[in-house]
Amino acid sequence: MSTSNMTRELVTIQVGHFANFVGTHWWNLQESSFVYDSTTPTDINHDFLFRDGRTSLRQETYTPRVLCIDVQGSLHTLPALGTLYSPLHSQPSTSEASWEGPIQIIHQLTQEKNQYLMDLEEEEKRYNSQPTDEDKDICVDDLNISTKGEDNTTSSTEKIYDLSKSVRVWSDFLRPHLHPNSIYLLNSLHVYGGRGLAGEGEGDLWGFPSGTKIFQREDVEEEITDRIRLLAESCNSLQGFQLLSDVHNGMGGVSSGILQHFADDYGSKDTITFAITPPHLSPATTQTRLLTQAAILQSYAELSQLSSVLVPLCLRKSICDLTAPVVSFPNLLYQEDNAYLSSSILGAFLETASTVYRTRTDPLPLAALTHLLTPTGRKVAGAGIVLPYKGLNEDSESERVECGDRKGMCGGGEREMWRGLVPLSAGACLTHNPISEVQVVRGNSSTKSSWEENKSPLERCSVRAVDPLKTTPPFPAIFTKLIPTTFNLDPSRRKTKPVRVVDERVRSVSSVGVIQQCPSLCQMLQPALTVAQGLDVTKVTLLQEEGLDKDAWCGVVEGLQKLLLAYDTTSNQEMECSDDDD
Amino acid sequence: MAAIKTLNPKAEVARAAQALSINISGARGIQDVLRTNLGPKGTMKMLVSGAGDIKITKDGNILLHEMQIQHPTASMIAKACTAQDDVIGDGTTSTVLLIGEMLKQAEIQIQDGLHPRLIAEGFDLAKVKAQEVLDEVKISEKMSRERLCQVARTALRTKVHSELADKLTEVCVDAVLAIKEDEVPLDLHMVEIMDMQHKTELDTQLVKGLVLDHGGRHPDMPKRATNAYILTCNVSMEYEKTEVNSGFFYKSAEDRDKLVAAEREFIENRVQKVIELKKKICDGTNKMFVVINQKGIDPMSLDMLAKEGIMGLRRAKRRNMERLALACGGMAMNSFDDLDEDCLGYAGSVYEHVLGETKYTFVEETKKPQSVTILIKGPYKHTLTQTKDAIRDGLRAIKNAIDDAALVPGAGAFEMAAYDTLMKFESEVKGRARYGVRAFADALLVIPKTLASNSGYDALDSLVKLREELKNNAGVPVGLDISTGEALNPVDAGIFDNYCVKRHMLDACSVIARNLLIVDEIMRAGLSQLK
Repeated sequence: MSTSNMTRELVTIQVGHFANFVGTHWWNLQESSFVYDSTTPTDINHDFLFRDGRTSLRQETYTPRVLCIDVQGSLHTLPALGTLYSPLHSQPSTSEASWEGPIQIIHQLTQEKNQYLMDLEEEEKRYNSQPTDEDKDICVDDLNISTKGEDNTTSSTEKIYDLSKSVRVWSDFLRPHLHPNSIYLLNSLHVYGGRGLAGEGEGDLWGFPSGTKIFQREDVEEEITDRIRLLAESCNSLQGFQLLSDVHNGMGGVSSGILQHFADDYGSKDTITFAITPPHLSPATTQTRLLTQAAILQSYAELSQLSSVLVPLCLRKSICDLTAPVVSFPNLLYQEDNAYLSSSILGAFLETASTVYRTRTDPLPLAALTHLLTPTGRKVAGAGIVLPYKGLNEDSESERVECGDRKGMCGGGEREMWRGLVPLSAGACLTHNPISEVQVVRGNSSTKSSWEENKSPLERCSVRAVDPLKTTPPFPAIFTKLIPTTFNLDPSRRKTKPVRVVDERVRSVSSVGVIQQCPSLCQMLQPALTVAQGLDVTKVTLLQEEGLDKDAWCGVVEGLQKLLLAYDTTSNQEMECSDDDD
Repeated sequence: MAAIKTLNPKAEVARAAQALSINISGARGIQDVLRTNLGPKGTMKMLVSGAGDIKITKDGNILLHEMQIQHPTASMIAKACTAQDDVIGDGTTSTVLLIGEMLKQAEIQIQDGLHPRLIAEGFDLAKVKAQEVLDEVKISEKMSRERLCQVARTALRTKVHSELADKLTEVCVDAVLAIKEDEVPLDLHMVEIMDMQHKTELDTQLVKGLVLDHGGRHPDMPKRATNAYILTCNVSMEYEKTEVNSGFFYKSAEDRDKLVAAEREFIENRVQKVIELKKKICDGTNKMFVVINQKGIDPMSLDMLAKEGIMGLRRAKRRNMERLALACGGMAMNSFDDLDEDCLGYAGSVYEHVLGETKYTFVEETKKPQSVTILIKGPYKHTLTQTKDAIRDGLRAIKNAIDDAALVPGAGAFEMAAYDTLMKFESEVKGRARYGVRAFADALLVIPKTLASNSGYDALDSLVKLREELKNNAGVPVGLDISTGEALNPVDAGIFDNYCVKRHMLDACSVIARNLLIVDEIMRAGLSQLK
């Protein structure tokens, strides 16, 4: 057995509501890129993130190795156990209660499923009722459906939905089935305490310290760590964890508890943490704004210490300023206050960038990745995406939009690629010549190098996969009209009409994902430290209530200082370097 | 007009009587929800969520967790009562009922013009007196198995149907007695609770040993071992990254393979050490060998172990390491450097049971099981949860009884006794605070009254009978017989409550009721719900 091509599994933990939005888009993208026939080329080994299983009815399953943590009441139509292993009873009967006395059935408000979920259910029923069981996979192949079900309906991937209005929670557009152990809900009574806030939009009113406290509750810690253990037990050669975490509320505290557990029990494994801040935060009062900012700062300080590498994902141009402008994409339209749309971009990034450690041939071990990205203790790395990626040889017909504050500083192919690169890490400008980086191009089969390989493997790892991103529903329609339906770099496959009809969906696009260690990260973190130093916790009653005192806050400030120290010493020098490259 | 209104016109303010009525309505509301739960004849609640999740429960604490309470007062009460459950594990329903009733009684007095603060004073006096009564009626003795069964049965009968309650009583008491050691505080963690979606809840059983929820991950590994040595360890047996990231420093494929091979050899040596030990002590005997590892074991190492007929389990629970050492003997090893026979535990039988995709491994017939497993069975997930919640409560009740070394007669006997004493005490209290004492005494009756009405009897009718009985037999505890509606002696009937639960209940309800009473202004301003 050769170790280089061995499946080395990763376990994903998604903590928080927005993190789950991002995660849901990611799993959807992954499932839509499943290949069921051997003729379609693919470079991605899905076994890294998915596992085989089997229900009690002996039905084979293939489910994500994921643990989603959220607050009670945020699933709406999805039962916490999923429907794969325990099909829903049509009508709960009182006999199940096995009680001699009176029994009272209390129906909570029934949630209505949106059109997409209903179609998905319908499709699955049709699939399950088919007499053939040559393919026991529960995941419905759209190819199958379109040939077999031509007469009646179009499959859910063909249909056009406007989910941007109907999606309220992440389970509203979740396509793959999850394992019954995959969802863990924190009790809302513990989360919101005696504050009696359970209304809409108030889910963010709990700070980092309460998150830590909740994780320290014995029942919560035991349940979460046990589910992680079960996921790890099923892995033959676990290489590490991917942690997607909300950082703007107490979920950051929960994540730090989980990371601490990783350090204690899985010491030799690596963790890549994506610290996610939704762009739609708008705290109503100064107090709540400070609570949110404090949570973000404390999360950055703690999570960066405990993970192998921390990648901030934030569409605003600052990690702390909640009113900073959002980044804009030349060919995408999205509303920053719509979680379903904004999370899709982050989901697309994760799908692209994570390809680096789950390719079929020579995947980069997570250990190597983190080593590459964190030279001299720089724990925070920046992320960027080109979506859609137009390729090198093509004359881009759309207007050339300069992004960020980057100057056109490189020649040829690189220039072309960099033009579309939008930073996702709180506006940290990425550079074409970073200290080290990971680049992934999806949907490009050409073996020709798209950029000069002037970097040693110690500094740059670049990966190409033929699979494009399949942006069929439930991926939102965020592309501007200039993008053709199949946006592929490969000329041989570019048969479809170049410009799509107005209401036709973009079916697939190419993309580039970049994670890099670059000097400008310092400029992203510096303001965070300034805000942290300027915050007087004794004046914020909400933080006082949570038990955050001055000493604890000093610890946070020190943590951030330490984080910055790794950048500070040499940053000036490197800034000059990158300027010289023009 | 409240001062805050001039500063923030959007603020909502409720003052004095209005504030009180908000608090009282909140407390009464939550009381109404839980009222029907009380006692073995209470109503079982079946909660069906919007998505179809089912939760079956009669436990006040769990109901409070499941209901998403919006009323600020109700939510505060819920928080306080669930905190009680965290500490002692029972009594949530009674506490909520008492708080609601105390506020109701107080309201009557306040309408007559009494100041809330005077009532609060009376509550404090009454609480102290009631705790004296509690100390008088408690029965202090060394806990026999029979007594433990009685207290566990009292707790369990209010959670699950009687047949199952009796079954679980035996299971819980046996479990606690198995792990109990003299002079050592009881650690309930040494009772593992494992569930299996299989058969019915009446098949729930006590396993004198351990049940692990994972199995061997190799097709050729033995599925059953008898007369087996158990090696528990926390040593990685899988391919890991090395300190130097090998991925980068090779020049050719050959180089890389060499590095990989070197790393591989390192792990193989570890596995080899286990195999050597096995060969040394098992060869030539009929003994078998089982490795239970807290860290991972990769397919190649599993393969090596399987070839030697060793059963290997990976990623055991951290707590199971401790439990294994207690159940089988031996100790958890952190390295294989000096392995010998003394480190090993022993189990007469280790076998695997497969259910769907989940494997269970039973470690049984251990020498002196000081750690045991309660194996819960049931046809649905929600019945499993229901049984599990009941077992938790049963175990806590037993532990409380052992810790307190005392029990309180149940079936409302304590409340009746306290009522009686408080009514006499009332005349001794000077000033208007006596009305508070009276309100407290009246409030206590909510427990026997609710018990009676939940069992289908007229509450006042039963109350009269109980008071009559109490008058005739001074000094004998009087409780309510839920099957006849008449008075009975709970000690004879074997109905006991935990001392600490009652004590905590008195504390919690007087503090919360007091706090709610003396609130005279409620403001809502500034937080985002006013948007």
